[in-house]
Amino acid sequence: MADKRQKFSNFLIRGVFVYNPVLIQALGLCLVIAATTSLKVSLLLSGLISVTLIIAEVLTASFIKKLPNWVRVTVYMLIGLTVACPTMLFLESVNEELLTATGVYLPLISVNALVAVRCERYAAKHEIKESLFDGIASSIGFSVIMILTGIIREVIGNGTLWGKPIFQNAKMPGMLLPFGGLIVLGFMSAAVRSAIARIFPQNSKVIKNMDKPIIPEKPPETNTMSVSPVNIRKPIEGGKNNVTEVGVHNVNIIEKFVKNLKPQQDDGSEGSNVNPENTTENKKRRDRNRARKNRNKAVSGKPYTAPATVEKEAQNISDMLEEMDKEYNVTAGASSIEKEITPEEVRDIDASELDQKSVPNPDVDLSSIRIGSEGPKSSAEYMESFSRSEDREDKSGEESKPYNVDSQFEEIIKKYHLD
Amino acid sequence: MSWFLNFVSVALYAAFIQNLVFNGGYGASESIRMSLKYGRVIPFSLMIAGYSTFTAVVCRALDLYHGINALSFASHAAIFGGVLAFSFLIIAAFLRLVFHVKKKTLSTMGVAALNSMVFAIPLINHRSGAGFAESIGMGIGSGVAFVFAVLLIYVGIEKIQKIKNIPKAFNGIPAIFIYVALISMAFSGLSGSILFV
Repeated sequence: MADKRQKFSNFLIRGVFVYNPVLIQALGLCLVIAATTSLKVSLLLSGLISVTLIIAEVLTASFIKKLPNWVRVTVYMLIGLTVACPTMLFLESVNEELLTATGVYLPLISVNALVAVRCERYAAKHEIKESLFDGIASSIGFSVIMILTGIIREVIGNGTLWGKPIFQNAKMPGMLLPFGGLIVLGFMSAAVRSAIARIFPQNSKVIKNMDKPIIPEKPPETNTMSVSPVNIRKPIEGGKNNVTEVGVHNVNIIEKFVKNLKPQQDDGSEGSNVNPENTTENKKRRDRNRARKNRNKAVSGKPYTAPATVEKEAQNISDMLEEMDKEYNVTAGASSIEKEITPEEVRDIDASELDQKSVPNPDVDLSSIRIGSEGPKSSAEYMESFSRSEDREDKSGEESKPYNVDSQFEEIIKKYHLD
Repeated sequence: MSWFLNFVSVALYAAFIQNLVFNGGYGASESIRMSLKYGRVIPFSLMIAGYSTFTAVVCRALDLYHGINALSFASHAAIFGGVLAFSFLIIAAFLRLVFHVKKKTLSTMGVAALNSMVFAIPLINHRSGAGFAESIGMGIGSGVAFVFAVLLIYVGIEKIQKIKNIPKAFNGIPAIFIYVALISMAFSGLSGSILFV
């Protein structure tokens, strides 16, 4: 409740004093300088303006702000007409003198700059409650100035107050003209500005953003008292831990408790906080995400750039394959031999007739080696055939462990998702 | 010929002799604010003159009908206000849809169309029983009066800013108010009003 009161008082001070719509913002001058020739007219017009402003600000904050701004201006005028015209009809039947005294200025409350400017600057950007407060504060500020101006001008210009003569000897009819209103406004504005400079020095300059609070908010307390109180349940003495009491404790106590939970190292220093980012699960998650990104890059058509480690491994594999090719005299893309060569034929072949590189080992089971029109084999197929021939060699006696040639390749393939 | 002379005399009267801003206070807020944004005064004044002339002519035409002429001043105010509001809406919608005018320009047009000076012209014409010539003269005269007022206020603000002896309390808006008050007093004396006993 205290916060709400302070907030409304903030609006009041802003609307009535610091950002007075007439003396500081120069809004609604037509009515103030031309129509405030008596206290009765001032009260009537200020009341109508206040009603129009409050209704317009509340409606603007609720739904009018959704319209385009060039349509909103027309709506404000129509709201003013709906307030002014019934009032004029009522005054025509009740008090026609008062209506005559207002002249053409009563319908002009519908096009008063105060309504349009406050609705556009404030109500269109804030909620209903705040707009209501702003409407009330601005209308009070406007009404105070209108009433004061009306009193001064009627007393000095006409020598009367509320139609009753006060002093008739010294009166200045010129005060009832617009220039009289401007003179009064000039001196009132000077008085208000000097008062603002003394009371609110931080607001002595005109601030464009009028939404800043006039009364500065209290800074957060920096003492050890709890900023955000925490409820901790206290156990009863000498009994079960049934909760019967709720207390509010200092947050610092809880902070100390949490600090004491940290593991301590052997050297006695306080253990470093476990960085949650370095857990194994997070590492695995990061690796998976990285691999997914790489796959997505490849799929998206962008040139795939393998990470450095994969490139290194690929280079190692290609180097190994080249060595193997050299060792077994097999080259991918070698010219094909049309017919199969039997072992007897191989013995009979003169080595000089064949290319030295392509002479096969006569002890090797050539049936496993396919030389023909099938084209180059993959490295894995070569290795598979080699492992089979190795196995056959060792069949004679010893039980040889199968040479697991491709296990290393399998690991690499699995690791970098090359399959 | 009398039509033209009526038109010219009313226009000159509204612009210079009984300036609508200084003598009547109509559009005083807009003129002081526009003097601070001097670059836009000409288009703004043209908009004021255009809307006030158009509204004055239409309202004068409506007044020719006996049924509307017999209504009270409150009803006239409602009708004239409705004419002004809907004429602005129609013109703004046309400009937005056909010429794709910017929203900022339309909002400036809204300020120019829906202000106290433009709405006061048809009410003054109705009260004074003005004809078509006088209505058009008042409309155009209001635009000229606005430009004249803004020019005078702008020149005054420039001179006030150069003065260093102004007390702190009167620096800014209070000085502008008193300066405009002195000009208004000059125009009131020019029009023959009694200022002092």
